[in-house]
Amino acid sequence: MTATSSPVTTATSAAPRTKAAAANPLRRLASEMTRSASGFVGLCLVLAILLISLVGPLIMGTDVPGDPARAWEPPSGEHWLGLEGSGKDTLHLVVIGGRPVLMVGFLAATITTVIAVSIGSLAGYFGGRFDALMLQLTDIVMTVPQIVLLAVVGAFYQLDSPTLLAVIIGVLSWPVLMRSIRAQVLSLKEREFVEAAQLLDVGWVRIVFGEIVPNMASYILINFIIAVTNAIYAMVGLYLLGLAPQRGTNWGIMINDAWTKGAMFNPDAMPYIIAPVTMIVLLQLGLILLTRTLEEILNPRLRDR
Amino acid sequence: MPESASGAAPLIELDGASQVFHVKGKDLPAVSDVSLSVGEGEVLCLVGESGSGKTTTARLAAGLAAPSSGAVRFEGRDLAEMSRAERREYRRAVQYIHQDPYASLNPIRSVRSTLSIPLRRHGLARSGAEVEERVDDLLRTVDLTPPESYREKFPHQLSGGQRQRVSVARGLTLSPRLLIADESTSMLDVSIRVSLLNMLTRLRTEEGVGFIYITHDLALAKYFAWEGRTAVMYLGKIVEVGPTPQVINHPQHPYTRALLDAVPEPDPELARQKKAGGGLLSADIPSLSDLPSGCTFHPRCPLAEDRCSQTVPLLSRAPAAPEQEVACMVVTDPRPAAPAGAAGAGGASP
Amino acid sequence: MTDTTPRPVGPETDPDAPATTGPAEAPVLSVRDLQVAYRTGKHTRVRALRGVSFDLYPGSSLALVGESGSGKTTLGLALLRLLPTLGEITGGTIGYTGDDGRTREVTAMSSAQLRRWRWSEAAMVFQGAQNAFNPVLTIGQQMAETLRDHSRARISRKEILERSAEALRSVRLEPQRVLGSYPHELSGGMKQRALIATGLLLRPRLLVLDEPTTALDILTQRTVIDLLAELREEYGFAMIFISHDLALAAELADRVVTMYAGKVIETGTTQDIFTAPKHPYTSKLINAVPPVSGDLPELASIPGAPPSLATLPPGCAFAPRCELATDECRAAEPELITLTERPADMTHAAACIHHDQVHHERKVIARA
Repeated sequence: MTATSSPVTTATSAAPRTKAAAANPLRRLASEMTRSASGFVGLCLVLAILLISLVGPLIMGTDVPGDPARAWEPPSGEHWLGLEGSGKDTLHLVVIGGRPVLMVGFLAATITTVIAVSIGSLAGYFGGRFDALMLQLTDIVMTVPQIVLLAVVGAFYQLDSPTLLAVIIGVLSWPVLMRSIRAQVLSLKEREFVEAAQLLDVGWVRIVFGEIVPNMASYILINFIIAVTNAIYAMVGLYLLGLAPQRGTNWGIMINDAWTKGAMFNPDAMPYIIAPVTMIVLLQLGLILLTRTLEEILNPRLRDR
Repeated sequence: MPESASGAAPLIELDGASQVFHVKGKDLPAVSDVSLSVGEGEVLCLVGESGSGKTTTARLAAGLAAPSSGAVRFEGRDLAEMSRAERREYRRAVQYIHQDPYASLNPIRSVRSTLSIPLRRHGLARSGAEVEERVDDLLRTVDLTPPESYREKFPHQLSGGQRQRVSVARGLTLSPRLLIADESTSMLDVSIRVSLLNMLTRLRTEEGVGFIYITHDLALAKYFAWEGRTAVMYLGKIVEVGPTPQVINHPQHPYTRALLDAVPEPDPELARQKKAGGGLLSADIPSLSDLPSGCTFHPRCPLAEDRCSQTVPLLSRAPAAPEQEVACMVVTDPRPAAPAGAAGAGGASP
Repeated sequence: MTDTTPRPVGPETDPDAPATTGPAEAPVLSVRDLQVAYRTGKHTRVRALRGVSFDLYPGSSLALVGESGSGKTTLGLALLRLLPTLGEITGGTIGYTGDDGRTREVTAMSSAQLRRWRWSEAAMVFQGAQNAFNPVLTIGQQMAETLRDHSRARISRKEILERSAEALRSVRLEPQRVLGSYPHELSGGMKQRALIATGLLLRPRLLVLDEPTTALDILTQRTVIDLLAELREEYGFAMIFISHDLALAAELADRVVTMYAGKVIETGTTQDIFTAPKHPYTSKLINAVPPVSGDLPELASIPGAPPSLATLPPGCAFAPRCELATDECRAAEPELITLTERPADMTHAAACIHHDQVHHERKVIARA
């Protein structure tokens, strides 16, 4: 049956594939997103956390008043998640502690993606010595242990700005994505529509960023979200290990704080540990569900299964 | 070469052009020593099997590849020595139309965007209204009417024939003077294929666009290039070239005859007469990496003689068909007779 | 034979047909009023075949021609019950008569019965030979698999090898070279021939070929055409040949069926169809094919595009593209009208009420 099965399967998959690519990709995305339950849950989780972390501080203010006398007070009607070691409202800390995490995640992912896409597509398109040089660069960057480097950098510089942290994470994590972008460009540039654009002399900037890169849009989007989750893990890990200075408020610092203050052994302090951990887990879960569904929607081959 | 007696340089000219590919340490001579030319409003058809080098030859003419040796000239100027401005002019004047309608359009671009980008880039239409007008004109030229029902479409919303037309329209955005159309694959319905050919013929006769048309089907060559020339290629070389009616009706090279015999006839009477299998000794084309000695066609040739495996035949006048040039000793220089005098100039020395 | 008119009749094939001049055998395939629909949405369907009937006699060769979207490929798939999951046979019958003279209804076969029936009785070669073989198995392994899966009796290793080699030799391939090769090691033409050899392994009575030469070079195409003609003579299978290339039909078929918008609009001997087509669509289709010998005729494309099956016009589906169309054409869909009656379903019939106005001629632009 081998000889017959494949032509038939191709015939089956051809019809839905053309339908999948409906006229307006954004509208299609929205409608597909609401149709898949897990994708919808992911989207809601991410939106809810964004809303809490970005709008919350505007309502509740960024200053958290503390009353050390009321340290480790258990949850009550007034303070839903109780108070932490210096008598600050845990819920309030959770709300304002999200912004730096998200900021680092998205900024680092943006830096990673921009570097990976531009270097990857140019290296793939032009090839030659530039390509070889860039591949060597990825080898070097990939061998740098991120955590150790951050620890070293943290030791020499004041790593108090999340922006600097994001830049370091971003600058160190592009090589993997760069290589897969390069590989895709290598195959896309052989497509006839690219040659047609070359014939029309529209210039390499247009060809690379106008004809080739948009064809990888879905892949880039998914990898951007994956980069966000990776950056968040890296950042939280650094704070948890105490490698980044404990200044300001964010979920990573809260966990480290709980750890160092021995909250583990204090049943009343449970909400202080669980709340930031839960937020991080929910955010990551939301992002991962989102990518899974995006992958299914944007890659018709997966969808047909 | 006697082409273009007018004196002016032809639009495009290949002069002893060769293209050697290096694959896995082996040299593959995809095109060897090909000379041809096409002028304004002229048509040249390149015919041959896949692997005959017809597409590579066309890509040389289109500037998509540079020849390993020999020259490609546009209006007498060598492509390799062109200034930026000259190169730009050449790029606008010579366009290549890929004929795989499924691969040649960017799936993420609408028809309008596909056509307007080159227009804007080359400043052929400045204002938005001007662009719209040009896009509509182009769509009308390729019979996609009314234009408003096609402008906003994406490739996957179009049929194969419609995509092909968009592809032609894109080739026309820069008002080229020479179109190179590659139809080595013919997946289109007969009716669609014919309407495309008729449209291209109209461009040639009404607007003087020159054509290089690539096909493996001599029936299409006959139809499209009846008023022009046909060159038959085999393993990177031109083996027969001449005015299309002569090449089709009085083929000289045994390979041309085999190609003609292979074309299915839309007439059951004729079809039954020609069931001879093309007369070839083998159905498979030899590999470029391991070319036969002498005439590369000799292992498949029904007319092959001993000398064919030793001497490489050169293109020369066929005694029986003075308008054609043929690269076959058996035809141009029959064994028992003395070497043909004046007509056989350039023929292989026995 | 009882059934010389193409109009649909009962699904049974009459076993005691009166002995006429036609072949005494029953048709291999007797298709009546076959209907196929494709699901396009939850509640929407498109009718891809709208009542197709024909008989195919042992050893004869039928060409199905038409533009893409005419339903010819759907018909080929439906005959072997190979429709994609979205497609479904919604009506009609396909009677298959084997060597034993027993007629079986293909539409009623279970999947186990189908599995036995396919390859051993009816085989198929589809377009794109490049993808038809599994890339990780050798040609020999795939032929052996086909033999083991579809043979009625258990067969020995030695026999498998012998029969595979014989089938390959019949398509002029060297068994010792091809059996151990992976598909990518063969050229397109060799793969196509190997696929035909696989199709013929179990000596089927029916071979369905869908665009078997479309992706091939002209010389390879010629080899395959000549080979098919020879094999048919040697093995005596009946053949259904699906192609958009009418010239191929002229070469290979005894009989041509033209399809348009899911219906048979003309049927006749190859001679009928090519010299005196009586449906304006067939005539136009032929006039779009360039001949290589003789005079240079003008080629004209058929104006307009094939209708969408979802929104068929009332009446004749070809009427919007036809200059002979009258109000009568647009009012009701014409039935096939018998023009020349012949036995063994070689009748010439056309579904056009203006068939007497169709004068097929080619306008010559240049003399040879």
